[in-house]
Amino acid sequence: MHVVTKILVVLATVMSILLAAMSVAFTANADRVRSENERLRTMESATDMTLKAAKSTAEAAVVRTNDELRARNDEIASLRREQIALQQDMARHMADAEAAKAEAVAVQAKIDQLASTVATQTELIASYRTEVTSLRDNELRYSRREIELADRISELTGQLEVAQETNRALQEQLAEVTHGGVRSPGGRVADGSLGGGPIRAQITELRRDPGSGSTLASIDAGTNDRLRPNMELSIVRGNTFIGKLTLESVDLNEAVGRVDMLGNRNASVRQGDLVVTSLR
Amino acid sequence: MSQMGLQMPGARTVRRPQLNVYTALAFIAVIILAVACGVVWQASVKLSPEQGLMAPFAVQQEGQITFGS
Repeated sequence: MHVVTKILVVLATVMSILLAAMSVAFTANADRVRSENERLRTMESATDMTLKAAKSTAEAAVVRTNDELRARNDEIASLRREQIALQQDMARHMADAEAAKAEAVAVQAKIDQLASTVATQTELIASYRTEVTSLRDNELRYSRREIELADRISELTGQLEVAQETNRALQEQLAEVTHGGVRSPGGRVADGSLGGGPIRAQITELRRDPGSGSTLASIDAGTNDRLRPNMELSIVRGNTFIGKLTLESVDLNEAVGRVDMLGNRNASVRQGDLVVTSLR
Repeated sequence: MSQMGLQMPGARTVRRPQLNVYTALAFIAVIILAVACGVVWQASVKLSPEQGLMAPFAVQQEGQITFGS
């Protein structure tokens, strides 16, 4: 065998051994790698299934969460609408409160104004009371003075009446004597028999009796003043004797009588003339 | 003397080995084996857990597959 052939054979043998060893290692590794690959694939498939299940669960959870989120969003929207409504109500109530405050301020101002007015009016009332008190005092004084004067007047009037009655009586007698005959006092009641002082009244109305044509006079005295029917009174004006009045009807505070001028054509009876009882 | 190629009288005739077809076949086999070794070397290196010259002969541990390259 040639050397080269031997060398080649040795090389072939070595390479065969080398190749065999490498083949064995390669085969074992390939088998191991294949097993590992299969195991990993199995794990991957299991993981994929787990992931799919988790994904479906997550998707369901996502759907559920989305639904819940939608519901929450709807709730949030409704709450926001409610919030807006409440804010509007609050704004309206605040405006009402401000208006009420302004009204309260206005009312307080009005109260203050009224209080000042009341104070002013109180002062006015006090001043009026003082004034009224002074006026009443003055009135009382004046009333007393008036009473004193009235008493004095009454006294003087009484004296005057006495004098006038005396004068009238004389004039009456003179008139009776002058115009003929002494009138019969029949049917005429003398007033002196009733007692008390002289009775004075005023003629309030004059009218003519259509039947007899004589004058009828109404006076402002009656039974309360001790007047009676058929009483004979004298009509005077100042110090002048006018005529006679014979009472025909007497009420409590007024009476009506017939006027008798005793033939005196120069005199006439007027409304306001004084009527007094005759002094005989 | 035989080392010098001298043929002595009375000695047998030594025929030198010659290259023949078997040499060629061996050569071809070596070549192919070399190529196969090279291919398997490269493949084994890819699957080997180690690096270096002894990488093709290393075996993966069961359940612990690692690659050195």
